[in-house]
Amino acid sequence: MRKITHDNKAIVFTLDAAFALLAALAIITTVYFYLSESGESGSFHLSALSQDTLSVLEADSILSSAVADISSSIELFLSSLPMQVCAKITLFTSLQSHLFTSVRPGCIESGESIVTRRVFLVNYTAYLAEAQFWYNSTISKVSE
Amino acid sequence: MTSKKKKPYGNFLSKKAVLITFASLLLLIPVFLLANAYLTRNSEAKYLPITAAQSHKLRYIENDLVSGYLSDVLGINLRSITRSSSVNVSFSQISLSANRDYYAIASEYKGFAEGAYASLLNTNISFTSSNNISLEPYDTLFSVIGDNLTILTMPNSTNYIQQIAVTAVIDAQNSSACSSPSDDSGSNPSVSVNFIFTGSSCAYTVQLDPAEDNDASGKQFYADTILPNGSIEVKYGRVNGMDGQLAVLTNGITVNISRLELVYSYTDDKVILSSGALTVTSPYAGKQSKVVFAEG
Repeated sequence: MRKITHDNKAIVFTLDAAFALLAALAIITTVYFYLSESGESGSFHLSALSQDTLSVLEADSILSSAVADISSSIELFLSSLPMQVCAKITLFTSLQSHLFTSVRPGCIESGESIVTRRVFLVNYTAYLAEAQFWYNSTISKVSE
Repeated sequence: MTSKKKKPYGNFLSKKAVLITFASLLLLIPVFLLANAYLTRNSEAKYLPITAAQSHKLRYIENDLVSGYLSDVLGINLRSITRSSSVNVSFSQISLSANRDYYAIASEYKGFAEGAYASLLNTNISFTSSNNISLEPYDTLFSVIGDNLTILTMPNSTNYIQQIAVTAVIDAQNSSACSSPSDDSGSNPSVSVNFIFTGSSCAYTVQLDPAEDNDASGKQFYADTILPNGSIEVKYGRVNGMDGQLAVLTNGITVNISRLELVYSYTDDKVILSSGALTVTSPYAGKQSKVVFAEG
């Protein structure tokens, strides 16, 4: 049988340490990947914000006013949203005919967005408001 | 000879290997069990945000369909439900017009909610609300049919109803003397009616027996109008064979009931103003509830 020398021992210890390091790195990377995955939570908050926005717009009669072509108050409201959020409000009749669209100034439509809808009545006639919300990519890039 | 000398060392190594293997297994098994438990928990937990989001969405849909129903579909504004020694239910607006069919408006709204709206939201909606509203636990039923309002207060009107007050703003001029029914006094409910015409008004307060036809004198609280020609009448008691009914009957005019107060005897139970039921079902969750407009 071959005698284990000091050199061989050093190789074994080095390999052992290297494998341990690789294993540690793999675990840390996996954990970091899972922890940094916040897509569900982000979309949930965006959905809640869009629902609240439509509820407030309806309660303040801004949606019903907008049916009579007073759309500036919707733009004003959208401008007061948090700066990292972009929004587009579209009004339809109950037969889904387009009435008008208001987009937050300075926002460009993104591929990933959340859509929420709310029904409201003006003079006993139903209308539909559609809110499309997404994160402002320009702001994200600046903050990165 | 050489092999005999090496045998004890070989035995020692193989025993050591078995020990190391056994120790490794002992250490690794809890790690595997822990990993398995984490995997199971994680696979269940990944549905939690979806369920939470769906529940939030169902609550939002319910609020969306119900929040404006009373005022925007039926033209009724509830001011308050207050409690002291009695329970006071007060409305600030009920619009009555011959040009408005509340049943048709409610049916159209229901059709839109169950059709296009449900389809856009990827849900199934069943909305059984109508132009009838109930007030529990007093068994009171409100119905707005065109230009008439009826409120059924039976079967317990004599036990529950203490006072009724109606103020009607009429978009016309008064063309006759206002009439009122004779007073039944006793412990009967007090009925106050105030007609406000363009340029004049009249008001009466009498106590009326809810189980009696108070039309004996011909008409109850009644007045004719001009510009436009029409009439308004408020009845209480046995109306169309039903006891404890309050009816506001208009003909050819637009009337806004700016105040309707119903004072009931006190109850510890929660007072609920509701109408029908709403069922919302999405691919992940479902919700069935009464269409509750107010609780007090």
